[in-house]
Amino acid sequence: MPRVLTEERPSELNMTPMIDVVFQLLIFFMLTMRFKDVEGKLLTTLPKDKGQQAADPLPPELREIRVILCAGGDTRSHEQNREAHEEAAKDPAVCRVRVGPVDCGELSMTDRDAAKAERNRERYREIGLRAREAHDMLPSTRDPLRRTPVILDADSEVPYEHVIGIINALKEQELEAIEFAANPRLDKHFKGK
Amino acid sequence: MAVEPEEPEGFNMTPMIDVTFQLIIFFMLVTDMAQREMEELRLPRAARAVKERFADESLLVVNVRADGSVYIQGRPYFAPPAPGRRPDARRLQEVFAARRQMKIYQEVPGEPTHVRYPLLIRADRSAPWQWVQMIMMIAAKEGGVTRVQMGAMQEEGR
Repeated sequence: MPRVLTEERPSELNMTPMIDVVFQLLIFFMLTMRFKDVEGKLLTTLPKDKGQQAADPLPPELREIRVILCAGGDTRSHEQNREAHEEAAKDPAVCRVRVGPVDCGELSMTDRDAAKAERNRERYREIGLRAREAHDMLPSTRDPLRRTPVILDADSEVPYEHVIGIINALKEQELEAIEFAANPRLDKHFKGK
Repeated sequence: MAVEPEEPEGFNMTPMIDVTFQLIIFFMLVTDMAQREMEELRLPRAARAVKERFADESLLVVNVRADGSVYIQGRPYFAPPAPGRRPDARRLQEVFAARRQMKIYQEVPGEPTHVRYPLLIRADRSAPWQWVQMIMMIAAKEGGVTRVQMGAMQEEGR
């Protein structure tokens, strides 16, 4: 008797909406779970009570390790005349790195390019090793209380990823005292305000 | 022929309404997240980046987009100047100066020399370094900030 069966139907519990809701909730939680735990932070400190510092009597290669990052691939002009170098137009796609006097090659912008990213990562590692070497050769490192800072001197146009990559490499080499060189152009703009 | 009487039962709207509601809630939450402090940025990768266990209430999150414009809580605070023009960071300076005056953030209450809240700078991987530098400069000078965290993605594997 098919008639009786069809009349009884509406009294049954309809599971479809509940399943829909559950699926939606499942998808929602799956999606929200993902973007929370991939992000991390690198901790750095800004100098307290210090503006631009007076020169130390020691020669620069003995009192600091300087990592120079130049957009456009010319580290010489950076050193000779910092301000003129900053004013010149540069291409941020290629950056040149130097650790003290040692040239560490070029870094390129990685825009979804895995091969470039891998090459950059090798460079970062090399920069870290060079900085470690320079640090170990310094006379002051024998005194564990006096850590020689690594000064990161990057151009205005250098992409942020290179700076982070180098900080990361320095931290991997246990060089935790990282300082950022001031930007002469910005200094000029914001002085006296 | 015997099955035919079942068909004119009427279209059941309940599942569709459920789905629609869920979608609405989903999009509301997602847009709310985008509106809040964390902008959608392509952060650089760093294996040494650390995860913070609990969120700090006093944390100030500053986002820098790829072009160098700065956003706090979804609102623009700084736009990079046209070539040759001076950057105008008055709004950013005001934010840090105002925070410095708040007693809850002062290292020694009543003395706005140094502040205690952490600052998180999240910048896009292709953002020019100078704008991050500018934020750090203003934070130190106007805001008395000493601790800066730099946002990065943790690398998958090594």
